[in-house]
Amino acid sequence: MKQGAVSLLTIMLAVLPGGVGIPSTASAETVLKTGGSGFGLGVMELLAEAYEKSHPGVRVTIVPSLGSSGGIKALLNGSLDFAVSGRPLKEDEKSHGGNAMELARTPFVFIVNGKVNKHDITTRELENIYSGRMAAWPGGAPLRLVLRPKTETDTAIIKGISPAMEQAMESAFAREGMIMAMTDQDSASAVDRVSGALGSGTLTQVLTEKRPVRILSLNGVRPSIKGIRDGSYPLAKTLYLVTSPKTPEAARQFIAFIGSKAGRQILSKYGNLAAEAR
Amino acid sequence: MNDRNRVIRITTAIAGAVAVVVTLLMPLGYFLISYRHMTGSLETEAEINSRIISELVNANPDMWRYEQVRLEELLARRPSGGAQETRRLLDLDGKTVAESVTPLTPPLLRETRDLKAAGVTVGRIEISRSLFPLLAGTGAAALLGLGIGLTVFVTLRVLPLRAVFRAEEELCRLNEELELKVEERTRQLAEAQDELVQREKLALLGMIAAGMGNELRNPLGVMSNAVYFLQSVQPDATETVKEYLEIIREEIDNSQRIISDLLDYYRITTPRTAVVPVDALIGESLARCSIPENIRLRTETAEMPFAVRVDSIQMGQVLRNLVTNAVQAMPDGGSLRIRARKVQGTRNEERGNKDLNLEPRTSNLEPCADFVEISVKDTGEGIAPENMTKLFQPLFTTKSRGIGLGLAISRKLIEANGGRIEVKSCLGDGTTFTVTLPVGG
Repeated sequence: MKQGAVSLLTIMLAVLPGGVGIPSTASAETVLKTGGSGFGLGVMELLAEAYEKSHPGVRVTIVPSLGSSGGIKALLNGSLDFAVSGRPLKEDEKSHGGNAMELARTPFVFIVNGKVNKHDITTRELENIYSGRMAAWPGGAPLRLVLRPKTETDTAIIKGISPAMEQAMESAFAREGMIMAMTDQDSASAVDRVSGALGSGTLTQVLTEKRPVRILSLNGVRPSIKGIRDGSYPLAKTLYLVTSPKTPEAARQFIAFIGSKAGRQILSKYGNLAAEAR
Repeated sequence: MNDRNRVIRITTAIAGAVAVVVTLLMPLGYFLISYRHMTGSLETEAEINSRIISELVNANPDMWRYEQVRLEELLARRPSGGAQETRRLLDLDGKTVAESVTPLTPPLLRETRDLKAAGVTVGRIEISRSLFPLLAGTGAAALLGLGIGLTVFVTLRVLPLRAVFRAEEELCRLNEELELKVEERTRQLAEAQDELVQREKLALLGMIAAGMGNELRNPLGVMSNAVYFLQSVQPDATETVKEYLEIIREEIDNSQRIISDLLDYYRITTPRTAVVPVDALIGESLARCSIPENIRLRTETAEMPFAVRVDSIQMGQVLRNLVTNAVQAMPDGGSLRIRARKVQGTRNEERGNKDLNLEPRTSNLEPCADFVEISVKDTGEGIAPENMTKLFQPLFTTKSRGIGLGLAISRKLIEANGGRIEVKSCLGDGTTFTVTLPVGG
């Protein structure tokens, strides 16, 4: 990062009233680097595109998925200007200067391969699938389960659906032949690629990455912003933006853009319930 | 004994060598095979994990170090039933980026693979396994090998030696048997030689006796005539004179009979056989014998007359001799039974047609014609067991008078006529002589 050249510009932008949304007049290009949780990277790309259009001197680089922990660690180590996280900060991360702000919430969804003739799934069916009692789809096609690592937020959300689901998840981890996806992108790709696959993801990821998978309604409720707003759809992931004392002003301005009306519109368009809109 | 010790030494050496090889092969083989398998699977694990993690590294060549959680999750993924492992990811400076630690007992076996991003090494993966289970297994294999080795040693040493010793004992036994047989044969040869010498002596003595007998016959004949003359011309002689003349006559008769026996024994002529009715043979023989009144005579012959093919003069002499012996065996009287009957018999060819075997036929005996059995049974004192084998020897006698040639002559005559003679006796219960002759007609 061209830290020395950028600092003055970012400070100037920060002091400008209503600086957000004002096209940059700097001649030197400012490069912002961000990364972290995979599910938020798609919408972050769209936000970056929009921001770069209005700020020609700024380029936002989004590194491939590092995961929430990896992104925060890279931020605190100075390798990122700000990070995208799917979870709040841990105490030790806060003690190292980390500061998280809730950006939006997006429905956590179950997705299936496009060839699977399934549109809705129930909690009981999920329990049976993850416990191994249900190994085929109603039509007889084999069912392939795509899991996420135990430490991932997705795993924690699925475990939290019901007590039986927690046991079923442990059973799934103990079984042979499970597909283990290390990143959100790997998970979506696996569901897209493997016939009969069932996995998890977020509404915003599927929309922003234009994944050819089918999003299932849960217990008859379709995942939507409205659903998580009124609580009719129970599962959601929260997207956080994490900064550190080293986060440059230019990055803070980009973050301010995300919180602006234009940013919130993009978030909302791609399946996110922006924090300020709740 | 030296050979035996040598066999023991060689067998022990071979058994020991095989046992040592087996004992060492078990743990050595187990260790080598297991070690090879372990290193192979460790290399495979390292290769697979390096490739998987290299993919992650390639996705973020500059930032992969920050994906610690994911990397540790990846490192923690193990094949089910796999060995205990500690896995570490190290950067180029050797600093640990991520690890999945399992406590391992040293010594450790370690395998390392480079992590590459776009062909450039950015770090390495290190997988360690404990050699302790392998060494423990090798120890167990060594114990098993020791047990098998001992079993092999005992089997290879004890069983062959036992067989050798048994063979040796069998050989000793056969040697002893052979020595006994040789001794027996030697004894039989010595006896045969003694008998031959005895016969030669007897033959010589017989020739002398026969010569002397011939020479004595004439003076005895003169003496007999003289006695007869004296008895004829002195009818009025005193009783004492008559008694002494009678004694002289009887002793002359005895002397002549002894001389006749001697001549008969050594000058047996070839039998002139003819078919002779058995009852006639017995009757004529009895007619020429003097049987005291205190002896009850009983003859048993078959209703249907049958005959034998013999020399009637020789067989008559035999029967008279047997009847005379029986009478002499019963000085206080008794019962004399003479019985003749036909019997089925066999002839033993191996004995040169000389011995008859009248026992039930067996496969090695050639069936032959009927025989006639004539038995002479008395109720005298019987014969002592120790004398039974000597009865037919020449010059053996238990009588105060006689020279012991009667039965010897009888046997020679019977055998010359194709028969044989047997005797059964029980002290206090009498004696039975049985003559078996070939049937005639």
